[in-house]
Amino acid sequence: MSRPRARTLVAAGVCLVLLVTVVAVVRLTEGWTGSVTVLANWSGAEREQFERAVRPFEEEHRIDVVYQGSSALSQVLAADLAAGTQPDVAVLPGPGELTAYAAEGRLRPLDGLFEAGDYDGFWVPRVAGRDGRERTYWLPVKTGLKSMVWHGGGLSGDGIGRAAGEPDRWCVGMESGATSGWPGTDWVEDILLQQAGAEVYARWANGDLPWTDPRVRKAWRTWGAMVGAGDRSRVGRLLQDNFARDCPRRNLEHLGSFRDSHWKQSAGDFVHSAEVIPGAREGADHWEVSGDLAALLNPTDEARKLIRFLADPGTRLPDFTAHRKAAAPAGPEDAPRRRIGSVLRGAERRLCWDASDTMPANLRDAFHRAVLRFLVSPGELDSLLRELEALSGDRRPTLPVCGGG
Amino acid sequence: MNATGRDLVRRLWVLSSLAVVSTLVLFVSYRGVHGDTVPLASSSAPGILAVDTARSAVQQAHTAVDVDGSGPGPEATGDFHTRISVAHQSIAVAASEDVAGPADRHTLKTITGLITVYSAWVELAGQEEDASLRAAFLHYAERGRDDIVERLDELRDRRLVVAREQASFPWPLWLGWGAVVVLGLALCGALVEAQWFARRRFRTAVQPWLLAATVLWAGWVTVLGWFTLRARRAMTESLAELREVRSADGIPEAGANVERYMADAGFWASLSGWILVGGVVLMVLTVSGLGPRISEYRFRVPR
Repeated sequence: MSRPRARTLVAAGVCLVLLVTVVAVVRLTEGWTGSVTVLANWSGAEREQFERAVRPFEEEHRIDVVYQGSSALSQVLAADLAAGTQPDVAVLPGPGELTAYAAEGRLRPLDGLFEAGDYDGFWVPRVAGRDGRERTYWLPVKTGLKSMVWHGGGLSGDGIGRAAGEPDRWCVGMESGATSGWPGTDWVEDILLQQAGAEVYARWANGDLPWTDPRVRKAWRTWGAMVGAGDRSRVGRLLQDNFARDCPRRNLEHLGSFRDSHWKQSAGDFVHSAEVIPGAREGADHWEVSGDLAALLNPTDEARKLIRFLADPGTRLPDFTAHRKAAAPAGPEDAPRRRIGSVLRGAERRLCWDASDTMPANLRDAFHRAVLRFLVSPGELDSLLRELEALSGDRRPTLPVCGGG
Repeated sequence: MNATGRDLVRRLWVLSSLAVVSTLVLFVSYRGVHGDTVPLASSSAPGILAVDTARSAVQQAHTAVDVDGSGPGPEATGDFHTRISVAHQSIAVAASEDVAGPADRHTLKTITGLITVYSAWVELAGQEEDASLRAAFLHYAERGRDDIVERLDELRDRRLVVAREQASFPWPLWLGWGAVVVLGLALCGALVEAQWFARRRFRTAVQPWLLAATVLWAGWVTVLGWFTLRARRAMTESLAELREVRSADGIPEAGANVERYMADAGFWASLSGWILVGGVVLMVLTVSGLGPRISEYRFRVPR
């Protein structure tokens, strides 16, 4: 039996090395090189939009973005932080909880990961960390305009005003999972903003104006009159209606810019809420806004890369972005979207954060429940406000609530 | 070396090559099946059953508080809290590191938060005197429960896909086990032929080393094949248990059945290392059987 020749052995060796290389390359190109966990409150279409937006990131970096969305975001995040199992990135709707977490040293600074100057200081303020130093702790991933009243289009100002005076013409739904009640808090906040102005609104949001102040009480009563609080048959229904249920074209709806796709179907439009809120100040032009803000909780390389990707003006994030260099909504058929975009990126000095989004979580949750009770029993308003004031007493980190403030 | 010597060397080469290839193919094929038995028994099955338990507990909790649609009464509170505790414990089992990956743990943490919110709505409904508000709080709780159940169902589906993959027998395994049979028969045939050759040339009744090698390999492959068939059946039966979403009463029984089917999974899997040892023994026996005869011819001077 003859021994194999050296040439044969070399050929076999080369084949083996090639095979191993091919297998390694295939595994490298097909497999993930890491993962990043993201917690937010987006579900349905918003979730799909986000997942679509991060797909190029996953493909480019081979990093798996593990997303979880829930209306119980606050509760999940609080439990995760307490257990030390927090997600890498959390996207919270508003700066209230994030300001508190930053002060507790739970958040990692984002300085150096993106150019904060690409956003107005309103969206990306520098807030104090545990050591008292001010840094950038969040990135606005998605912004939303509020203080809007949607209508079916083609209505005159008088027509909208007349409709606004009839509680049955308002589409109101309070159900929203863990955060049921927030549509009502949006109403009360917006009415206070339009009636009392930005300065009073900001003081109230930061706990410097008592809940029992006559101006706050007036805002609640105004809302109660507009939507028919105390009308038990109507209220029983709207307590259980989902906030995003279909709204007939002839009705009005006080919801934010996220409803543009619904109203677009019926060629709807919006007006500033000051035009329909009774007792709004002359020339009231402030807008309430919300923002989904991404914060870094675990400073892994993957999470840092994701933050950089989300801050890239080329990333197609869900509407609406506050990035100055990103493309603005365009197209003749999208007039409402263009107006929304121009307010969010051109009128920062007239923007105010959704007040409940700046409040501590326990006060915000109590506010949600208080509007539900107020709808059923408007006569209990004074005791509800006293309860909220009692909760508001604690000192808390504050931030500028309104642009330029 | 004369013709007999060359024949013996050729046979040693053939037998050694077949032994090495057969051992490796058997090792890979055996691992291909039994490498999944332990994860199925210790991770996938408990994970799916824990998800089922949590799902069932949440539904039972809601039944406890909403028997007549009017909300929780004082007598229902104890039962409700017990069910919620069961749900939390089951989720803790489902989320343990040896059962769930990072994505599933992320989902389960969210579900834990949703259960907390759900419990809060139920408790608010229980304390509420106003009928409209009580109905609203119960409605919110119901929506929360639906969300929880939906997420648990999605998680279950994902885990069942993993269990199905573990219990599957894809074409590479068919190919591998087909090769094991062919190579095993070829090796045994070659051993018998070597036995027959030695008997004819050296007028010995039997070559004990070659006989031992033949019996060892035939028995070894048969035993491992038998364990593999048993593992396949156990995995198929376990999968059938897991495929069905069970009520609270049926879950312990399903768990016990899976445990019974897969009781020997650890033992089966532990044998894979012994396949390589068996291959070495086979080689030693083969060399011991033919080596001395070859040595005789190596130093025999032709007349």
